[in-house]
Amino acid sequence: MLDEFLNQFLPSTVGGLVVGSIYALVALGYTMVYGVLRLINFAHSEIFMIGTFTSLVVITAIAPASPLTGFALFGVMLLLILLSAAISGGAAMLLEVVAYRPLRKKGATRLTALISAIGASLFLQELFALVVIPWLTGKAGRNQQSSPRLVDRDTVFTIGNAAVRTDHIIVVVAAVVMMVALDRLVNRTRIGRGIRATAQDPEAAVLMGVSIDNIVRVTFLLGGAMAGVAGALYLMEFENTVYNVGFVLGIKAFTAAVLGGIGNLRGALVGGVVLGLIENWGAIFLGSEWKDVIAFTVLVVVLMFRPTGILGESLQKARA
Amino acid sequence: MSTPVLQLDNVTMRFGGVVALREAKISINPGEIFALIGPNGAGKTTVFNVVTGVYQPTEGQVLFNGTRIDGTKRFKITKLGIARTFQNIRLFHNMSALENVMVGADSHHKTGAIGATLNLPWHRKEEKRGRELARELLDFVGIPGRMTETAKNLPYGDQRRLEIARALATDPKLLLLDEPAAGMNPAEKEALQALIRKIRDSGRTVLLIEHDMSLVMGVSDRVAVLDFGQLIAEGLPHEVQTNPRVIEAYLGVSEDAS
Repeated sequence: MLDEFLNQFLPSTVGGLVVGSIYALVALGYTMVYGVLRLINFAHSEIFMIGTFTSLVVITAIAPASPLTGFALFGVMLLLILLSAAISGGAAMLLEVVAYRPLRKKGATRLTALISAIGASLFLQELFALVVIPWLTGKAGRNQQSSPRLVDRDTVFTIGNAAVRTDHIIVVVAAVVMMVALDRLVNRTRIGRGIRATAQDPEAAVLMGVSIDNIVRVTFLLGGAMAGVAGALYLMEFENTVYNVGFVLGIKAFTAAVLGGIGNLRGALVGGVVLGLIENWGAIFLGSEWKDVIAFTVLVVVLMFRPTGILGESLQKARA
Repeated sequence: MSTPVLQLDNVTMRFGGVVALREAKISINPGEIFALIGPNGAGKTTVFNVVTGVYQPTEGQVLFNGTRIDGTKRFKITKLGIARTFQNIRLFHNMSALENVMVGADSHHKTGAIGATLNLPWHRKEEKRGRELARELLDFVGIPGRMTETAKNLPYGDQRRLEIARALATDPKLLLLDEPAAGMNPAEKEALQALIRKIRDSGRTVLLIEHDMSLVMGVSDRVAVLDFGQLIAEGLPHEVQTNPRVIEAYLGVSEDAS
């Protein structure tokens, strides 16, 4: 058993980092919206799904005859990421205007907004299954859609017995770049100060000239864009998607956000990576069908000892 | 006579059956330090909330430099040039002092999300200007050494000063101070008086709510007294001080005494 674990440890670690990066990117959206509005945006998982389909459409349109390399690969990846970020970010803003803003204006309770979020989530899934996916792909909306291979599974280097492939590197590097950019934006710019001020005291922020509507809009845009990037990376890595691809992944990302400390951007990163690693390590012992059980057991255990999550501190408390 | 900076024109504010403010008429001239006093629950903070757009008056109008502002969005009122501090300090507790002030300065900046993300030159210039302004203001209110400290770690008196600096960063023509001396020791109160005068001398108008009578009498040009939502007196500090109705309201010599 131990032998097997040691044998599988490094490959599992690589796999865990890759999937953890994707969790982390999606988790950022949950955590930002929660920080500003105290709302769990359950439809965020569908924003991720929209990102995967945007990428699917782009890859299919480009239709590479063989996997790409070098500058062509870089260019196409950049295009995928930018387009998915733009479409997902736009969709998230639209979602806010349609599903949340009217409730906020009328002073609805948080529970009402939560129900609206669940409704929006199911609505988007069904809309894609029944209308959008058949229209985009010409195939049945509830089937798995697979994507052409974009990146070769070449080993770039090895660590012990773990092969680190091109696609692994793309996922991790892209995720890190996005997260660093977001962190800088939140901690060093006017928009970020507005977001943090609103998270700490919305009333005082308004009276200092911060427009809450603008801040909420930007928050959804940024969170959505991160989910879009995650969607692009997911499709490149796993090469398939489906109308409810966001469901389990969304819950995992939400778990990652809570695990790291909801409302905390760096917590989302830590939570995503920790969750990805633990479920992959645990799978060595129990088999990969136990991944989800392991993930959620860890969540419950961590929260018993640290109810505010690993980093605990929230967006309100993020320092410059 | 020039246009008043702020004019409350028969403003009534009702919450259900409760009348928090009854046909209030206040007119504040440019460059004045105007104090609003009265017993607890007299409606002073309601005046602030009506002026800053938190409440919409049930009746009457609020005019700022001759333009109606009741019904205007709150953040826009700030941009027009009205800023305030809070009775119970409401800083962004986990930001540094400098950042708190920068949030105020940001109200006049224009870069959007894209400019900020890409850190375009225009955004960088605004950031630099905001930081410089914030430094100057911390210096102006007398806490230049506190720049990098987290707001919640500042001593109480400094937090009050920081709130004033943050409000000044929005470049207000009218500054509303809600009990700025609360919790201050005599030395701090004296420094606060000097600061309020300095703010006026820098070309701003100040509307002050305060319980501390020595401060009010020492610094105000004019004083208005509210009692049960009604203005019962207005005038020079010493006139108000000797007004029998004011004394009655404060000492509670009527059947309302309890």
